[in-house]
Amino acid sequence: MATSTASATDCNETCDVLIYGTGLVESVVAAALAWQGTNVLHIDSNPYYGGAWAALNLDELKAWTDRVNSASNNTPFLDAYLYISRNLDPRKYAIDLSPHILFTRSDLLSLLIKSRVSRYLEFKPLGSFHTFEQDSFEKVPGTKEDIFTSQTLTLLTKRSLMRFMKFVIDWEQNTTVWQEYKDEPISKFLEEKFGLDVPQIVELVHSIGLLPTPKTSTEVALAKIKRYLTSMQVYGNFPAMYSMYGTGGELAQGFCRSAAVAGAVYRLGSKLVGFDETTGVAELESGEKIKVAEKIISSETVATQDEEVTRMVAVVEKDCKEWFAEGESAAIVVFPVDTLDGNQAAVQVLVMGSGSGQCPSGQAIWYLSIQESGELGRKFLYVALEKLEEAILRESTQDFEFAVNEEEIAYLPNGLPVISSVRLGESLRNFTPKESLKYLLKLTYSQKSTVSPIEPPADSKLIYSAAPCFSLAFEDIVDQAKGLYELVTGTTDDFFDVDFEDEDDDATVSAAAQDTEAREFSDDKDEDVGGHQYDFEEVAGEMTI
Amino acid sequence: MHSVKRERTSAKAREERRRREAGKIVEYKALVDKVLTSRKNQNYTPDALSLTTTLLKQNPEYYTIWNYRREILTSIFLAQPAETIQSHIDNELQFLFARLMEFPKCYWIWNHRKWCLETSPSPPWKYELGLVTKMLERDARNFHGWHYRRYVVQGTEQATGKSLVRPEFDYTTTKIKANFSNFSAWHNRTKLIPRLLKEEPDIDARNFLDNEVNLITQAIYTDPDDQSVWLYHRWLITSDDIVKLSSDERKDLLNKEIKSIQELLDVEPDSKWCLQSLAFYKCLLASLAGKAVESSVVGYLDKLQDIDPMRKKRYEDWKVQL
Repeated sequence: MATSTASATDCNETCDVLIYGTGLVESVVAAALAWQGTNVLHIDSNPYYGGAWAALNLDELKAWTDRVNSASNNTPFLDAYLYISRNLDPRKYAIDLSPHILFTRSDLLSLLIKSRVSRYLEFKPLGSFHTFEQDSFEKVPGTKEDIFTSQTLTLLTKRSLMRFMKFVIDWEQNTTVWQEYKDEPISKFLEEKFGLDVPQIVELVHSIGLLPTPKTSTEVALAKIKRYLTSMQVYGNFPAMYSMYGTGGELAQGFCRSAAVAGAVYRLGSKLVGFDETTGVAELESGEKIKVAEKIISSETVATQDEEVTRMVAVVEKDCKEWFAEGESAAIVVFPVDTLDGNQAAVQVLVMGSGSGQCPSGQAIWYLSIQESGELGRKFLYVALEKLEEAILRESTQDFEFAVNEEEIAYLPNGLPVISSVRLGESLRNFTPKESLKYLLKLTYSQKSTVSPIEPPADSKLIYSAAPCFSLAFEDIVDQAKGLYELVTGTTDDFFDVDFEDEDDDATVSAAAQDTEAREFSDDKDEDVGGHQYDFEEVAGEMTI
Repeated sequence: MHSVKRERTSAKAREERRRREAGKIVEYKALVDKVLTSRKNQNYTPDALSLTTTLLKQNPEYYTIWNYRREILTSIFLAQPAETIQSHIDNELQFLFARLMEFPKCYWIWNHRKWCLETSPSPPWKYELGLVTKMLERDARNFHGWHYRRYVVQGTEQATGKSLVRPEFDYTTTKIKANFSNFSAWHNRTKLIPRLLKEEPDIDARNFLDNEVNLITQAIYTDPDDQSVWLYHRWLITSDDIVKLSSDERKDLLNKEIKSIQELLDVEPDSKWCLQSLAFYKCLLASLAGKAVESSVVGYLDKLQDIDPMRKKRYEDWKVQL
């Protein structure tokens, strides 16, 4: 995409809709409008796609840091501090500015499949969700099988958890159960209505719901918890996915490509400097003037709220494979509230191994974030970083040993030996790793949010899109895109209502994704062995009861 | 079903489909007549075999045709050398494989496969075990597969002289860990455990039983609505084939389990299986102890009549017999 060099003074370019900024939501809207026949001109001031959602190489990252810290910063980011070790090949890295994961049961994935944009992308599974509890990372039980085989949950806890999981799959229908707790904290609801204990509540809130705090209202929280559990049933072993090379940016590019196929025109490196509401003429830095017939959608949002998320990116010289499930290259770790010397919001960490295409092999990227601003936010991120460092050194070291006395070993009923976790914790706490962790890159920055959707003044042609959300998972992308689409066209009926050239390669993928049967937690009786009437008698006859 | 396009069923489309099917029905009936006549005439030629192939491809449930097919093959095999027979059997197995993929739960296909193995001069047991393992991967709850697996394992053991009890037992454990809602896996386990304990005398049978009870209790608490886990529990508690328990030991075991189920009933008061099992075990306990049945049992049966009205009379009957 060439930078515009013409310095024409007359309006030699027209379009129906001008979209400024190739962020994810804007790109979805661009494609939706283009496929409906709208004449779209989609431009971005950056020399890359994705805007605030982009994944940058190290050269782009340095330039971005300068821009963010400059007086003319018009991004949702601020206060960027960057350290890069020497001798890194800048092109071998893709640092995601707004890291997100994609749940398999989501509007966005459905849209990706429907629009065929998924064909431009390479997705990878993410099934490892850990909670930081008592100095170690516990893997979260998210399926009936996990609960059944768990050696640490008591019988009654298993029952309570299963009962809750069965309820939450269908929670919208069971209003009598939660209605009175609608605006109450989810932790209160889980404790009082389902008798769940603190460890289970912490896991459900933080690792399954990916909520920043257990004070989140019940209605909001139940939807988030359900999202994880129903997503587990789509492809089997994992509830979420990410795309190679940085999900947000890749998805945005994918939709831009789709829009281009539908006739949208693209220009990178094109800065918008002015827009005249009365004449509908937009002016670029190059001097070019564009006549916009309908609307401008701009990602340079003006309205901001006070909330900030503080982020940290650390590239480490460790592959971190100890944290990944078999066949996977990423993991999520959550530090719940109050596990880092008084944090009132959770620290969420997305660990990306080299298999994600974001860094060379033998390294990994740690993306940390906390919904807490400035100095305080950074403080907790540093504490979390220390814990991660300890953990990875401990788990990846070859020579961790400690002596155990016979008396310290107890045996579970099934014969499995266990050592008191207190004893183990002591040893782990006293463990001093022989090596230290090498950081190749460290970046901290803050990100502001914007109100969404943004209602423009009645006759205005200028519409603003929202900045990326703080949550670790993509949220409301399709809804936001539809909102913008409606502001332009007046309806959402024909949003992506296109018959793409029909091949059935995606049939099974989309069928699986749209399958609404929640079999696992509902009544999965073994009676339906299909077809024959003789079945049960023949089988039961064989078993002498 | 998934991935099947739903055609717009307009009146015109329906009429069209009926016309197509009417033609097919006439064809099918003609074929059936031809085959049955051929059988009546005791036609055991290769042509007759082909006819049955065509018909069975369309309808593998028509078991008479499988019988006829076996009559033809038996006739062909008369006074033939082993290689010829084996080659025919191999063809049959291939033919059956394709049918199985399409109809994995048809009795007659599995049955014919068994006949092939029985008739084969050198049955390919290893291949068959691989095949049935694959079938169970596609559907771990296909009881035809499990039944056939037992047959193949038995054949293998006879051919090699080596017992497969331990690997088979471990196989059921794998399947159960993946999804314990599997009656056939538990059932297979009940067949293997008595043999396992006999063949590995080092195992402490009582300890083994306690571990199994613990395992099934985990499953019961995870999903009390699943009938297969309750039936396995019942077998564990009442069977004499695992370990010989004295009357006192049996009573102790029953009491322990009654307590465990009672705790579950406390948190799941409407659990049909908890109530049924408690009633059953308390009756059993009473008969072992030579005492009258506990009065709480009547309460369970009343509750059961409420929550399981389809079996109201059965519970009524039970109450009368107390």
